[in-house]
Amino acid sequence: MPEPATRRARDWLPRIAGTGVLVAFAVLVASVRSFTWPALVLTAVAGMAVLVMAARGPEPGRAAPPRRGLAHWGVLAGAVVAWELLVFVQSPRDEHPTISSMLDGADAHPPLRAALFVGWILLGRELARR
Amino acid sequence: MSARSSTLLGWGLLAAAFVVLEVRARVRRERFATVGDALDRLLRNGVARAILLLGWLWLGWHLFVR
Repeated sequence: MPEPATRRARDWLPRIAGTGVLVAFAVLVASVRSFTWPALVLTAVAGMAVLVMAARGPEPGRAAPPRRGLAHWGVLAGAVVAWELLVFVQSPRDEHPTISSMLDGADAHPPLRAALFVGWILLGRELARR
Repeated sequence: MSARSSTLLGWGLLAAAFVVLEVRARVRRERFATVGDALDRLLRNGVARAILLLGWLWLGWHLFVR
């Protein structure tokens, strides 16, 4: 039986390696410009990786989610969609920023773009393993 | 107040509501669902799961490709 320290290291190594790969990939994505083939290919590769994870289904052993207290999330989601639509139909965009137009500001800053990419992948991973 | 300030205030209030609901749910788990619980519930439905994953893919394309 492995020592606890060895076991801990064995548990953490894949996580550290995975984080390193994700950050390196995010830096690569942040270094390419939108509307180019490299941007499309890199985003598609990451998207496909998460979809493959999703195809395996939820992680085994996940507890059944509770039924109570869900309505307020539906109300909040509805409010976000309503506000986005209300803002979207108005112009100029500078005066009525949508979520997309606010995030577009990150486009010119590679570190922000890389952080956004990491956030997108983590969101996808959460959706895939639930 | 300018239109831009009003719009940003709206976004700020929605973001604050998200934080308040999540913190309240984490403090009183027996009564309120966290956003993770809500996603768990939603993703048990195959159609909702497919729609959310497609929406996530579209978001990636929208943010990093187009």
